[in-house]
Formats: sequence, structure tokens, C-alpha cells
Amino acid sequence: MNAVTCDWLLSQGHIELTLEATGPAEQVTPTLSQFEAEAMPHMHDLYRTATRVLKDRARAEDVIQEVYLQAWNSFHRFEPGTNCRAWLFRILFHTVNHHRRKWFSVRLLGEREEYLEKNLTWNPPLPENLTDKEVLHALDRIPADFRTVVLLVDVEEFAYKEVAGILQIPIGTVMSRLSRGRKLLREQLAGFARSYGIGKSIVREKSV
Amino acid sequence: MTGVTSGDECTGPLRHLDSFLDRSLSARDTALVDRHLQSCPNCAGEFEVRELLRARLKRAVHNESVPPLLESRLTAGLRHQVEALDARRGLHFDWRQMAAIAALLLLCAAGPIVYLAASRGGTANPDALMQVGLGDHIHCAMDSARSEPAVVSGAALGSGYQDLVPEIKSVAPAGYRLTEAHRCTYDGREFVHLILGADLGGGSQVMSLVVTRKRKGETFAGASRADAPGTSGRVYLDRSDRYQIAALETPEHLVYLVSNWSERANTATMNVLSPAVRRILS
Repeated sequence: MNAVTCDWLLSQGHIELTLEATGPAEQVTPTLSQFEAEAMPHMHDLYRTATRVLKDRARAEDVIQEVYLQAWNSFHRFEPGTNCRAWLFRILFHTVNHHRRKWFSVRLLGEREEYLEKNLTWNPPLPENLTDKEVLHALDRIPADFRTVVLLVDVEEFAYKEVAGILQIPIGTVMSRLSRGRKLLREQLAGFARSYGIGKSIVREKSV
Repeated sequence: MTGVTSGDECTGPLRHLDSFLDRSLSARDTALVDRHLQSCPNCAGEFEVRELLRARLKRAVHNESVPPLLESRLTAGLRHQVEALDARRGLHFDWRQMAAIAALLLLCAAGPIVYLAASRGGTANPDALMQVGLGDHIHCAMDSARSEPAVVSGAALGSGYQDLVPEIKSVAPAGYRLTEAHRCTYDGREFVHLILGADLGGGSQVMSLVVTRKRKGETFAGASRADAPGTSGRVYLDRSDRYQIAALETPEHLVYLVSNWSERANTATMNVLSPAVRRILS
């Protein structure tokens, strides 16, 4: 395994990325078509993740557009055969973080501290007959940092190490956010069940 | 990391349950947790709940629809932005330099046509005549690329043409300023030449109005492409590289509007200018 460096310029300066890679680097100028063939197949995964993290479809589409442009600008450094998907996700979260202050409210950040104080011993049962809508609603209610790690591991099936690379955080932080995120998700779902009875429609839950 | 089986027999396995679920434990710890789950119904039940939650979450997120045109929108958006970047950042030229570069390429191609048109003394075919304005436009853009922008008035144009200045300013988009207003000679033909430029966020923009006197027999009538006839007369269309050309003729003049806009925008602007230009040049 050797490391390949993928870098691109962002408004605030030069950012360097390091990805695990195999094989020697080729110094061939890639075409836009080659880039599209490599990167576009991951578009749905990126869009899904961005939509759930940002909770806004239009904004998610704008971000994905930005991600693809950034990715194209640094694609000449990308090595064919390496993990393009992880590379694109890394650009996605770099872009999201870049806009973060604007998009995530102070209230959400405050909530995070509160969540960290919660005890970790409660393992509520999972309601039966959960609808997709209920699950997504519960996911939307947990803070962005936890939601992000849960999405990357549980939905996009990245390994802890890959998530650490994508989010640029230590692997221990990935594991603790994942653990707390899953627990928070479960608490949300159990909360729905307690309020309305297990298996009842989510439609009524909107009146909360 | 402490061993899975240390202390209370459920504490270790429970603490490692997420990592076990994600297949991120070492082979040794995986075997220990696995063994514990087979003998402890409580922990096995907890594991099932976590496994189920993960499956439900994955299904829910994957079942969300993706807009049907998302991919084509993103692809088109990317191609558009890449083109804009190539024009702006990739080449690192402002509009004057862009025009100068284009000139080096085009003088080779368009120059001989213009020369032939001129040397045949008015028997040029209309399509070749359409490029006359462009040949000159490029020529002057090259000159202006060498000089610093200065305050430009229409005084150098001479009477009869000065009035073109406020007219072209009035149809220029916001942010454009007059950078050239002069008479020049190119390939033996005299031109009145106005250039407006803008450095907008989306890249350098340039528009140019070129006027020259007709030689005997010269007309655009019969040119390959023309816009639908407007109220004040027909506008003929052509393009060269990234430049759009819209041209009209008066009894004595040939008038060209050249820009790096879309054909639609360039043609529409010429149609707006048309009545004033015809009035001034009559």
C-alpha cells in the first residue's frame, strides 16, 4: 500500500488529502468523460447522505454540484482503481464543514453537549412495524455530528477507519459518535412508540 | 482496549457489541463475543435489536427517492462550470488577452478570407463578408490588449459616428464599460470600432460594434443564416470560434455586433440596436 495525495484548492487555502492506494501513479491528464465514468456512479449515495445530513434537498443538490466540481479540479491527482467513493465523501464533508457555520444553528451545537451528558445504560426495545418515514424522522432529530457517523457506517457501510478519513476525526471519535448516535436514534424511536403506542401511524406524531 | 471477557461477563461483550456488529473487532474478540451471544439470551436479544435498527435505517434511507433528473442536471451543471473555469481560470486571461489569443488563431483562418473578399473589390460572397467585422474586431482587440484601459469617448470616431456611443452603451448589459472607440484600418478597409468589456463573476465578457463602408456590390443578402426579419430590417448571423456575429446593412454601411454571448443574446441585442444604428448611419 502506498499513499496517493489528492489535493485541491478551496477558498480558504490549500487542503491536502491522503488516501490509501495501490499501484503506481499514472501521469496522464484525465478527460471529463473519464471523470464522469469514475465519479458519477456514486452520485446517488452522495446525494442521499447530503440530503439526510443537511435535511434539505435543494441545498443537498447544490452541495453535490460543488463536490463534483471540486473533485474534477483535483481529479488529475486521483489514482484510478483507488477508493473513489471514499474520496468523494471526503470532499462532500469538507464542503459541508465549509458551509457549516451558516447551515447548522447554534441551538444544534448546544444540543450536542446536552446529549453527551446523557446516560448510556438505557437500551430501549425497538418498536415493531416501524415505517421508513418514522425512521427518517427519528434520524433527522439527532444532532448532525452523530447523524453523519451513523449514516456513513450503517447506510453507506464505510469502515471506521474510512469514516475517520472522510470526516478527518480520530477513529475513537467515530466509534463514540456511532455508539451514541445509534442510541439516540433508538431513544427517538422508542419515544414515538411510548407516546402513541407501538406500531401506530407516524401521521399523528406530527402534532407533537 | 481491555479484553472482552474481563469483569462481569456481559459488560465486555455489550461494550463491544457495536464493533462486533460492524465486524470491526479482532478475530480473537469476535470469537469471544460470538461465544457469549450463544450463551446469553439477553445480549443476543440486544444484538438483534441493533442489527434490526441498522437494517431498518438502511432501508429507510435507500427507499427515499432521488429526483429523476438529478444526474442529468448535475452532469450538465458540471460541464457548464468546467467550461466557465477553463475560460476563466484555466487560461488565466482577461477578455482582452482572450481576444488576442483568438486573434492569433483566427488571423490565419479568417485573414485570407477577408483579404480575398477585399481584393475582389466587392464581389465577395455574403458569408465571407460576414467575417469581415470579426477579422477587424480581433485585430483591434490585439492592439488594445497591449495598452492600459483609459477613459474612452466617442470623439475619435468623427461626426456621423459619435452618436453610436450612447446607443451601444444603452443596450450593453450592466457592468460593461466602453474600452475602445476609434477608427482603424485593416486589410485596406477602414472601420469605426467600439468595444465594451466587463469582468463579471462568471468570466470575461466582450461586445464590439464594427462599422465599415460598403464597397460596390457588397451585400449580406444571400448569407447562409439570418434572423427572422425585424421591423427595421434583417439581421444576418454567423459565428467564429466563441464569437457570435450579428450583422446588418444600410444603404452605405455594413454593421457588425460581435460578442462572446449566446447567439440568442447577441442577435436580440443587434435587433434592439438596429433602428438607432440605421437612423444614425442614414
